[in-house]
Amino acid sequence: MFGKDFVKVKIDIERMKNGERVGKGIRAGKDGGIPWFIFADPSQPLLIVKPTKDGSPPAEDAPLQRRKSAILATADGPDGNVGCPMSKAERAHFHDMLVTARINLTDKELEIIAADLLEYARATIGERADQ
Amino acid sequence: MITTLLLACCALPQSQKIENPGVEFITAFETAKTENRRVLVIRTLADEKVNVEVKELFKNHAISRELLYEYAKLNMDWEPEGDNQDLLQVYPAEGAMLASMSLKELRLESGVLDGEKLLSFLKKHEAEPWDAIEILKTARLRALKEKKHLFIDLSAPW
Repeated sequence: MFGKDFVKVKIDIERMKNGERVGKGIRAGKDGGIPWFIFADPSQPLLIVKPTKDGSPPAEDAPLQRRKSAILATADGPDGNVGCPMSKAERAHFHDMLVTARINLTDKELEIIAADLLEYARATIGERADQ
Repeated sequence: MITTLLLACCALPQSQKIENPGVEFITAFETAKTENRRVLVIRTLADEKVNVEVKELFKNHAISRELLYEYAKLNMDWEPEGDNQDLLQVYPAEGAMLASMSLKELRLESGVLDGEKLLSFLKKHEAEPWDAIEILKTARLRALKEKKHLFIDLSAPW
């Protein structure tokens, strides 16, 4: 169902070449642990090479920065990273992200995703899933 | 996938016994494919003492980290037959076996298993890393083509 609107891509910040560089660029310097995720609009590249302060050509491994206009929603919730949305508040943030980033997913389908996530959360963290 | 499974199966000795081989094979090779790992076939032996030795060796921090990050493990029970004494076999996600190592090769003169040699073997045959920038580019092009948005998940093996 998720694949109806989204192309999933996993960036391994440790094992991939440029993984840490891409991770830092996408997180925009924030450090809230992983997993962490972002919904992005592909109509423009999410990352660009950060311009140098003196205008000189950037190095090949220069830092990357994210293009704000390409960001639809991130896992940075009101209380921090919700990269693994388990609690009620975390799942609510994830639901809001989906509402913002969806293209064709219907309200009914979002309800099904939310129900699946609740079931998974209850199986994983028990009663705390409802708090 | 089918080719890979056939190649892997053909390389196994007749006496190998594996419970539900289809599921274990598919899981290991799918993991290798989606996470850019190698498949490490570990032929656990009927000799319990050797099994304990091998398990202890795998507890070594550097080796366990290498296995966790770079390999999808596939355990198989077997009994050595003739010259076929391989203990470890490395497969790519798709294709023929890349390398193997026997228990004999792994033993030092003192008789203990050589962790350094095993680590060196595992590192030598690990998969070339994917480039995160290229992965993002490819995903973006696919999203554009399919008129979808991107869901980018930052993670690590641990």
